[in-house]
Amino acid sequence: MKNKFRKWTPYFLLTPALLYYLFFWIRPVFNAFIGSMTDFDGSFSLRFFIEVFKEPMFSAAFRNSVLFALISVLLQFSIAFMMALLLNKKFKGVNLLLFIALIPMAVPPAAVAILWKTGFSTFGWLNNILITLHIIKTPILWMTAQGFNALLFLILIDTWTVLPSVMIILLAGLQNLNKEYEEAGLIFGATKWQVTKDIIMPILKPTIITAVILRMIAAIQVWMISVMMFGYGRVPFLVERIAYYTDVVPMLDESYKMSLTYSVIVTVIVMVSVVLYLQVSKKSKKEVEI
Amino acid sequence: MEFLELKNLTKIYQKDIVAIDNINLTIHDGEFLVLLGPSGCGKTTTMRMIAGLEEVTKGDIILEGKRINDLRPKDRGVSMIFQSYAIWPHMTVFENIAYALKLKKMDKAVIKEKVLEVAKKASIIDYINRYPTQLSGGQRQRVAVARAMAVEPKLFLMDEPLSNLDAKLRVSMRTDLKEVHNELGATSIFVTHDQAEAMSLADRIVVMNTGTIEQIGSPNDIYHDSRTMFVANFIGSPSTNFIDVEIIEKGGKYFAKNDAFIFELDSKFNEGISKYIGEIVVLGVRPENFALVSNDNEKLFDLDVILIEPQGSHSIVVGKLLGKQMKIVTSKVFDLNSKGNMKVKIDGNYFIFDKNSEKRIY
Repeated sequence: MKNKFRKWTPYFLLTPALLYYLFFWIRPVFNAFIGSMTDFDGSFSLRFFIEVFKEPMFSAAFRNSVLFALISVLLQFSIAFMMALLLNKKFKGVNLLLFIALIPMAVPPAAVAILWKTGFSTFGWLNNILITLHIIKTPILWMTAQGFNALLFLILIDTWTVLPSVMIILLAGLQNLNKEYEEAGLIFGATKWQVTKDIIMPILKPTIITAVILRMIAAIQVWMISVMMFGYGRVPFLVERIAYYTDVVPMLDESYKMSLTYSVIVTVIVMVSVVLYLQVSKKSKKEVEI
Repeated sequence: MEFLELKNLTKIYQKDIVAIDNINLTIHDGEFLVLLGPSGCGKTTTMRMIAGLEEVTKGDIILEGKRINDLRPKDRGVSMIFQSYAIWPHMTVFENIAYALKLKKMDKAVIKEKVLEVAKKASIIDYINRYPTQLSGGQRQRVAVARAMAVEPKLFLMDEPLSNLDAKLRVSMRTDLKEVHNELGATSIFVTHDQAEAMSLADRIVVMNTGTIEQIGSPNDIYHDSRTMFVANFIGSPSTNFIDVEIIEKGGKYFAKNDAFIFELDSKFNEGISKYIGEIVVLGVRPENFALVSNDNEKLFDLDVILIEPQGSHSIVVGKLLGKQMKIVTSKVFDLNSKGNMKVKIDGNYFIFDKNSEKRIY
């Protein structure tokens, strides 16, 4: 009797957490899936998926989201890794540099957009500086950027914002690394670049995977800086569409269903990309083994 | 031409912390040299400067007649065994050993042959495809040795390579390391804080203390002819007993005197000791250079015994003389509870040190 009770004790103790997940986590997600796959009367229908796919904005949003995720993750990882390598060295002023590098972390995305918007407006501080320095004569019309240029613009602003958070994860990983691994590499004939490529990066892989996955998920879900900089619909993203349907046109009958459907699509895309990324990084390990 | 020379080598950290203070050292070809000292004495820093992992503040490192201060570690022809072994965890044993050879762009078949050869020598051939996490401490150590051998270096550097092993393995590994050294005929520099390890491995020992060299010599020199109180104290276990004595002269003979005894000094000291008459100096006697006697006429003093440490082949008698702890090594076997007084005399070599400079008086 006593034994049986003991066996169930852990489950009993976990019940509050399980209930929490059930009600506030699994239920709403499940409801969203069901909601996206039923018509207004509750019967099964893929009508809203078809409507979403037919929307001209969808293909633009999809393309922008994918491009944004690919370019921003690659760019942010490369720069953050270089910064982490630099800040991991011991030299005078490294703490001050770290402090400066972390400043963007303290600025929330909405404020970032406003900061850059005032900077990039026709008579903003950026043009002002450039004209004062005699680099340009007439103001550049940054905010009228179209298409890919506008996307690139957003990527740069996003990079400025999130670089510290990626960098800090990589730096934490680097600081845990036994310095003798690197030194052994240098002694046994590797250049600094070879040490980084053949020794530091493979050993740091778990940290790198964490950083990249976190960034990738956030990048696929980007929307706010686009809306804050350019407003709805200029540079559409998948999650921007969700916000559009719940925020801008909430009164339409279809709006709720459309945003549910977009949500489901984003969730699936995020999951597929993460699984794909993990597969690829696992494969690259096998190649090292020879 | 000497194999390796350190000339006025100095290392200063953060402008005013002197880690290495102007040391000069010559290492002969084929020699097994041990840098020995307590932690913080600069022995590891010296080795790291030779390896190229640490910048030289001042002075020269000359390897086979060539100044190598500014060469990158990889261009110095040295290999190193690290304290943590630094076996790369993402590579198998084979890849660990092969990495340096791959970087030299050697032929794949040649690499394979070479790796298998050194793996056989280090007896790790059975684990060649395992990852470091699947190996024990001793096996990892062997991988580190094999990796260092594979590159056929001019100079082996070993930074406390045995300190992470358990006591028994440490003793057997040090025999293996010495064998490897002899077999390859390479020159080795070995850093350790363990004097027993240093004694059993070294052709010559360099005893270091606070960034300077205290004494260089063969293990026997260092032990039987310690030049400073630091060396006499650091080398040997238990370490040398130090007794404060006053020097007095009587009829052309010199005596060491304190409240417990008066001891006639050997005539070989006559010249050096003459200027210390009336002064306090330090008498240093190694624990085995005391003898227990049964006869009151023979004894120098009575030792108030506190406890006995049996060591099997010998016993260590711990006692007190004038309030100071003394240790005596004797081949006699005692009952654990032996207490009371024992009659002791000095039987063998002893040192006399200047109390201020802590240097030997001859």
